[in-house]
Amino acid sequence: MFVCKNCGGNIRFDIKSQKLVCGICNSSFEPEEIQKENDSVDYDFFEATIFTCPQCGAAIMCEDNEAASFCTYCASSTVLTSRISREKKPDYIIPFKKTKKECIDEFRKITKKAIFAPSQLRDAKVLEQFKAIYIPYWYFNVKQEALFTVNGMEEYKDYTSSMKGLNYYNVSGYVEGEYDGICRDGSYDFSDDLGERIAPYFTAEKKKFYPSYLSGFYADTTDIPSKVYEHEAREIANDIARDVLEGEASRGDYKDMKVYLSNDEATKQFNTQVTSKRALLPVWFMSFRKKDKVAYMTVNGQTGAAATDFPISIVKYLMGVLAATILLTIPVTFIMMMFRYDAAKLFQDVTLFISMLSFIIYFIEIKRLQTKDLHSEDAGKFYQKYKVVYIKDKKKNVELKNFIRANIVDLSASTVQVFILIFYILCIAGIFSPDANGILLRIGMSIGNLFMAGVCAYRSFGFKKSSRYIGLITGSLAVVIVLAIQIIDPISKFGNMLGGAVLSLGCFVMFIDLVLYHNELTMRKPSLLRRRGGDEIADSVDL
Amino acid sequence: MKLPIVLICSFFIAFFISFILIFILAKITSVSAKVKKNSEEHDTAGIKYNCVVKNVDIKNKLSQVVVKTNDKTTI
Ligand SMILES: [Zn+2]
Ligand SMILES: [Zn+2]
Repeated sequence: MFVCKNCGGNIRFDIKSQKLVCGICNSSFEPEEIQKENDSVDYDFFEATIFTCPQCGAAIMCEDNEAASFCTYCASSTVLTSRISREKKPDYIIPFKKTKKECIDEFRKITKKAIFAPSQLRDAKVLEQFKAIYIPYWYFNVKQEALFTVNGMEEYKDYTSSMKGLNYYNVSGYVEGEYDGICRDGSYDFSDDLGERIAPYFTAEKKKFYPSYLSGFYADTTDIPSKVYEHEAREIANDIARDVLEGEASRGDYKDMKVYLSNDEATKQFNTQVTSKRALLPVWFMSFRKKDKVAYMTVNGQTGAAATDFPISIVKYLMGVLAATILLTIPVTFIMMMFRYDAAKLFQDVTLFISMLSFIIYFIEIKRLQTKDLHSEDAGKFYQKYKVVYIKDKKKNVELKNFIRANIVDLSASTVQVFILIFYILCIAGIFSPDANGILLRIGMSIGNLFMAGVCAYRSFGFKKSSRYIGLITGSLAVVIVLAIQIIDPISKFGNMLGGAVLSLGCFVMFIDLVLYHNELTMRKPSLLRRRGGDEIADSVDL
Repeated sequence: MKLPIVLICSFFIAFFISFILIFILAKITSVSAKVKKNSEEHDTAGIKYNCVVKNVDIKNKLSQVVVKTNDKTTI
């Protein structure tokens, strides 16, 4: 607790005035004036009360006792254990600029758009739970100064002789650079993704850290080592320096000089040095709990940028589907009547076509969700798990994207080919007749659907962590039923109608499954997200 | 064509289209603030830097000539 010099009351940092204000006599003080007795002696450490949650293991610094009964991270009411700890002093702090009211207003703006999010998130009482937390960040300063010699390359074209080629050069020179304000979060609790989305922070407003800034606020503890992000800091600096160099070299005789340098080479050539400092950055934070899972809502305490992945409320989703169905039934009926075609058969054709679309959407969605599930982009979590620094390979990312893109094109192309092939084989076999035409089309489409389902299954089961197969199995089963009907009795009105209905219901289960998977990723069990418990450490021993 | 049959069929088609569309809508609206960051480029927002490259000297090392045949008639 920080004590008022005038009356002995509790003083807290006030966001509006950016000063410490006494709750009793209203005196205000500059943060650097106020120190606890022990703190004045020690430069590197300060005394803090750390509350540890028995449910999720979160460790949070707080000066007030209100932290003792409610865990901010897993949103459970529980008795937190507290201890006094000597914590390493951060170098900088960016004090809160946005008040709770401003934060809630910013958050309301993004909830307005999220029409399928649970309505509790619009409830003023729930929003009152937003807590001001300082998140530990690593603050990097990068310096370069060196004489370098690197490989340059320029393409040349001679239009008259239609010649094209490459000229290689030795490019040497002198580089001097300084980069400031590269920040990466240093807490496992806080995902890189959310951190990046409420970024940037304007580091020009940073202040030297004094423990009194924390009075009235929570602060998370640092647990990711700075080396996890140092290579990223170097990479940012090296990329900028390379761009400057390319610009500088593309002068006079040279039009478009390219310099290819890996991050490690550039670090050597430019003598790139990183120094890391600790900084506390302000975040308005709320964990939204539903049953045993939580979702995190975050607002940047300096700029007010809000970010979260909203869970989709199943009830709202079903109501939306119901409303849209009622709205669409009449226009669809009119369109159906315009065709001089047997309604049941038309129905079967159309559902087969839409189910093909839903398999494609399922494929794309499951791929995206799984990438997120594996945390492949979160360097902090990756380090926590494997104790190896994760290096985002930019080139690999591009290749992966191209691969996915090519895959989807491939898939669609091969599906069409399968249709045509089956169709032609049957035509050549002489079964072709005006009526059989439709049947063959339906059989072909069913097989195409099954093919697509197989590809989805391959994708879905290939990932160990995926538990979502009920939807896919139901969808595939529906296609099998349609195929069976088409083989047994393709002309029956009832059969075609049953097939279409089964198909739509089967695919519906698939989409419900996607919604559940989405929610599983936005809402997690806190113990899984948090620091490793005994079981998890045991699991990782054989890694 | 009997109307009840058409109505039932239309209902299922409308249902099919609805749950796909509503899913896409729910997905789009549930992700707040877009990740503006282009993964191929580092976000330099919030970073202050000053980088100077001086005395650039370029020496030719070698040339690799690739003859590009735009002319289809040569084959
Ligand atoms: Zn006072
Ligand atoms: Zn907890």
